[in-house]
Amino acid sequence: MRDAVQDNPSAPPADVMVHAVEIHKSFGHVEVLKGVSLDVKKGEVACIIGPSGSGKTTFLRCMNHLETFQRGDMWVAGSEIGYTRIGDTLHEQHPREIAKARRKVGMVFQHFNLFGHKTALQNVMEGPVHVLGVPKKEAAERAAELLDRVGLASRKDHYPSGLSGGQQQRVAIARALANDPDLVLFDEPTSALDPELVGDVLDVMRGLAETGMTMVVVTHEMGFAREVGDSLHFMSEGLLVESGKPAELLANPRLDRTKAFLSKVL
Amino acid sequence: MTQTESLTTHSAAPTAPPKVVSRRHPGRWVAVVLILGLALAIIRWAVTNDGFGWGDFREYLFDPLILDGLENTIVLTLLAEAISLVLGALLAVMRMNENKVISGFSFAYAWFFRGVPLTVLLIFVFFSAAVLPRVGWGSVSMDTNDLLSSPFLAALIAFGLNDAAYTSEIVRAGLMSVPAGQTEAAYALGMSPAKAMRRIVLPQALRIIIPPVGNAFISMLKLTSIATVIGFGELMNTVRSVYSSEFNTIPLLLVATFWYLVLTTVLSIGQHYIERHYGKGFQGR
Repeated sequence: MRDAVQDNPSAPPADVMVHAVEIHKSFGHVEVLKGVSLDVKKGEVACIIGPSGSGKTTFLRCMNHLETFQRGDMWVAGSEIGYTRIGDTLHEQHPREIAKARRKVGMVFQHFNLFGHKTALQNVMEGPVHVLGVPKKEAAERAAELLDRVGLASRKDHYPSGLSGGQQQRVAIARALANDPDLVLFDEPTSALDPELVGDVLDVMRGLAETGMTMVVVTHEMGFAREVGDSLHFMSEGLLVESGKPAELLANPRLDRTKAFLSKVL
Repeated sequence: MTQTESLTTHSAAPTAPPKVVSRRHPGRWVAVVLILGLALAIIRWAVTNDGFGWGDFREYLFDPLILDGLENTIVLTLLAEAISLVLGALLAVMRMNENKVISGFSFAYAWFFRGVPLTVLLIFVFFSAAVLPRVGWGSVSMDTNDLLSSPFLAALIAFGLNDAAYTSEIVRAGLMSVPAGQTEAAYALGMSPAKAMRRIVLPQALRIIIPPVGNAFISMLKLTSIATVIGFGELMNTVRSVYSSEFNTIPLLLVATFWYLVLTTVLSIGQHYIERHYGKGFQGR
């Protein structure tokens, strides 16, 4: 298996966590991704911005195969995810293989998607116990640590219905970290939150970035992108049109559509 | 200036804030009197009227013949419900499959078995040897008549097949009530589709599925009395056999009513606890 990866000429260098090549994706006749490429290095925090409908969430979801695509190649944490390339064609992987590749990738959703029938602690334990096979006691200790890290140690026995949006999202971040992923994907993690709760979630993400975690963040929080992001990518109409250092790109956008978008959100 | 003064005096007044007196409901009291009066009248009627034959009721309540019928009813109901749940869940999952033939089969099944009257199905299965003399494959086959000569097995198959059509719709509605985000979050953790279904979707769907299944279960309990048409000795059949020779119809019907109410009560209590278990995390919604 490992040899096959090393032999594969399209495999990215070892320090590249996300290697997306010319991803094309259509819903019916509507092409939502028109050949998007992106490399994210180990330890990098890559922020993706752009107007709604530009395809940024769809692109992010291709990185753990929650979304299928029709053409392109997606390498995540050292292996192809979703499809295996043989010659010039992509073959969809067996669900078991896809599930295995997803273990290395944590995901935080816009609407949290915490398991409603499980407490905060059980939500965080679910992956380690039932996917990785970690003994329950050990997983519970580690889950309690993670909840402490996101500032919710006292809420570990609460069900999601008894937590605020900001608390739910922080539990969701702890859950995404529980499998010890190589990278974490964030899909507009603060968009569904009341304004006064956004800060707590961003603080947790900032702390995570400081530990050196590789992160891909679809966001509307320009302040976060500027402070925490290592790279900023602007998507428009299914294409990644402009990339750069966050401070530079925000201050001096090159393209008119980037300028137009930034003038609306800044 | 005067306004400020008047405000100051007002707030400084030592009087206690006014108290709320709850509204009276005279209409409700009239209704309570009427209901209690009606209840008393019914009890008096039941106690003083000899036609109820409470002597016979006591005599037959624990009669071995009746208890035998009761046992048959319980066994048939439980096993038929078990078949219905397993088959119904399978049909629901098939119905949600992307493949048109697989989902189409499930659709056709529900269409057929919801459309065919249960009595027709019962009698048809009981006499199915006429159209299907042997069941099985090659050497592992047997004579249909040997298999289905007992009305019990025929009734079990008929009730199970029929009820599965309804159960499949209940299960499907329950599965669809769980937001897609739950499945996505399970996949993102690295769960296989089967595990995501078992650990995340199904437990939450059960919250929606249990109440209508409880309903169907109780309904099945009483519906098993139809099995009398193929001569299966369930509760109603034994009751009828007694009163058709002894002519004590009313007391024997009361015996059957008593036992059906006992079974329904047991099922309702069980349903309450199962609902409470699967309602965890969703209280007050």
